[in-house]
Amino acid sequence: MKPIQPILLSLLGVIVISYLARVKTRIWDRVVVLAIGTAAAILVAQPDWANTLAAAVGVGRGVDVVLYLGFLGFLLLFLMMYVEMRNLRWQLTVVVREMALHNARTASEQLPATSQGKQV
Amino acid sequence: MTQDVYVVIPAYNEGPVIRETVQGVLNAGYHVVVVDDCSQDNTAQQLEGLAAHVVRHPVNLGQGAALQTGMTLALRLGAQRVVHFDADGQHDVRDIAGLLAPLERGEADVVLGSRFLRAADQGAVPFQRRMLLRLAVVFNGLVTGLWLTDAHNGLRAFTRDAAAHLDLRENRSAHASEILQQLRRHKLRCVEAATNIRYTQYSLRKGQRGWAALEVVMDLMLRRLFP
Repeated sequence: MKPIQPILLSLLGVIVISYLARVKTRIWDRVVVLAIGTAAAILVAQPDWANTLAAAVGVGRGVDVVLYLGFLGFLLLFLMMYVEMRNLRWQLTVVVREMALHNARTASEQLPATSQGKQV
Repeated sequence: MTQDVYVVIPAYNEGPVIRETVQGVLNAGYHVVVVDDCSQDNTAQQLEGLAAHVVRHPVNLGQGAALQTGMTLALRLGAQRVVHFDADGQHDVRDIAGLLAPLERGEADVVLGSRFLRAADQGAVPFQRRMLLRLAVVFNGLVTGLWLTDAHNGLRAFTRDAAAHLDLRENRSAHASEILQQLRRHKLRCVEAATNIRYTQYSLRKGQRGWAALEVVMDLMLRRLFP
């Protein structure tokens, strides 16, 4: 085992366990994180398996396959975050709108008191 | 007729012109709903004492959101016709009657203002902006299926029913294209009406920058992919 491997496995373990312990998400999210963490741990522990996978799909090196998959994973994550951000922006819009409408001033409220026949 | 017409004016930092704009519409006999989109200047103060309904967003959301807020209030107040009108003084209040006429005749559900229906009006639009708007017309046509002569004219008139169908989700510049998409989706009858445009140094400074068009394209494409 090379020195980098236990370091990477430890860090990976901390990240996955911290996520599972601290972040309250749906069970499916936890399954996905656990699956990705497990796959990453296997590839760190057995780097030759990445080379075997690369050869099977016609890519030169195992690290290239990992990079390609990593890129796709980040792209998916980015798009999911974009959709979530847009949903949050919409929810904010709805709340701000209702607040604004609740506090709207009608035309008669806008006019000065004297023009409404009231004494100042 | 003007009693049930509500003119929605979204405003963001329009302190120098908002009072004159709103007063002009009030003088024409229309109801006015001003949506102050969290202006940081004296827009709110300039609206004091005017017989307009005023709504203020506590945070800045964008023109599309302001229009939707204004339309929502107008409908709640009993509007039978809703008009969109810019705050920066570019629009001519006399054009509102021309936009309402097809609605009154029952020929359309929505009337969209156009700067390019009359040859005489085309020269009023600066060349660079005219070219950008031509591209926008093509883009809108491809995306929405509505082939108009003016893609982003802020002057529009709706029947109550048509306004009630709108549910704008694009808070910022893309709302203009979103309006067209929704008109098509709800199969609302649209016509265009000639409008005048009055460019001033002030309005040109405040107008959309060219790069904003890229944002519009991005927003619409992403919403297409992730509805």
